[in-house]
Amino acid sequence: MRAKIETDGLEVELIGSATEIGAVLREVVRGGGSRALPASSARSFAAGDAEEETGPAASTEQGMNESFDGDDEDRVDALQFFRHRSPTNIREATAVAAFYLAEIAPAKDKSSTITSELLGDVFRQAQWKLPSRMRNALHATMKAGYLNRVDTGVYELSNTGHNLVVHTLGEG
Amino acid sequence: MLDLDLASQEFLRFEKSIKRRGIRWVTSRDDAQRIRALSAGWMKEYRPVFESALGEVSHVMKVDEDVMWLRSRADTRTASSELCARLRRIARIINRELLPAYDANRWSLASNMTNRAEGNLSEENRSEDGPILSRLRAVDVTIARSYEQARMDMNDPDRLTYVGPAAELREVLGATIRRLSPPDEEIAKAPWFKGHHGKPTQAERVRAIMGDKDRSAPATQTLEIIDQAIGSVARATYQHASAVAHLGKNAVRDEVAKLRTWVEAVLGEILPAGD
Repeated sequence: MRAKIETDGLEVELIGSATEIGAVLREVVRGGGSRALPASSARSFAAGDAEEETGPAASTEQGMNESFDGDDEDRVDALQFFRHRSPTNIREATAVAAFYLAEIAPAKDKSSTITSELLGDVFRQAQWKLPSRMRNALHATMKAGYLNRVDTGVYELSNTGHNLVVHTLGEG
Repeated sequence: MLDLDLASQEFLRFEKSIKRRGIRWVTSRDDAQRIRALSAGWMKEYRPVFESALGEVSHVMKVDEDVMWLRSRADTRTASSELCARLRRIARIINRELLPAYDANRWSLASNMTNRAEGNLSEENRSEDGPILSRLRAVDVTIARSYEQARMDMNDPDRLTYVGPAAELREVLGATIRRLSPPDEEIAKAPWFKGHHGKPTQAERVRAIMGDKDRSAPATQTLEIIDQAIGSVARATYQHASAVAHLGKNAVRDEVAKLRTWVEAVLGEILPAGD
């Protein structure tokens, strides 16, 4: 995993595990005066800091493929993440759930794809009202442009869905 | 967390409860309270969200009318059939018009973000013009000029009205769709073709360009809100002149800015990707 930080006008690239980079970032932030540029959007959500999301979309793409294995104390659970992102309907909530599974969930629950069962699990954790047919929610979300179908009943977050969660939701 | 999908369900649940009781007149104090709660829920929770996303579109105003009527019946003996019809109509407008339009707006915002990110990958598109203009230029220089003019007019603070740039934006979209879509005869052969007076609709042309029903769904939905938004800009300019004077021209400019977001989202989907 890589991360960039800006300190005293210098841009420094850190290479190492998420835990190692997390430890360095914490020290730098504690020292004050510098601004971290997270390589992974997951990292910024885990820290619960919306202000950190200002990096270009390209930098967040890296986070899509990386597993966050930082400290549990920093981790945001599904309920907190939903509250932070504030989806306003089931299509958006499904996109948020797909993002959560891909980027935020604990390593054992992480999944780059989403199915009815996984969606149900995240909705239960997030206390989002369960729809009568979970499969319809996934299909409606795909029709809304936020998911791509990978296989029958299996979907993944589209780029537009990613941007919805990272840039559009939670702005209000 | 606010769930907009519940907005219509609350009205329908009340309608069901009236029907289940089999009453001819609605008079009870509980019903009056429920009417007040429904009206307040629309005005204070749901309406502001729809309005901030879509502007004062005609469908928001239609729901307003019905909700205000409903509120006026809170302490009055009202025929249950009349009340049920209004409740159903409110739910129908929310479900069929407002929610799809709201979704299309949210999709447009996120989709434009994707277009911009893709545009940044190309050196040529990294200019201030943005990715849409350079992609339009590659398709048709005249349409691109029209788009550029609309953008300049939108940013002109000295304009007296903004109906012109709004209409020009719609023309840019319409011309681009016609330019990129296959010939009418070819679209007419598609199994999904229904047409309007024998000609493909704009939505069908977009589907033909994109070649996939699911992929084109958000874009075709956005076409509908664009038409509504043009009406909203004109209405704000001509019918609510006093309101415009009170709010200032910025309110209308904001409406046109929303329109631009939607037009650019559809253009981003249908235009060939820049190199």
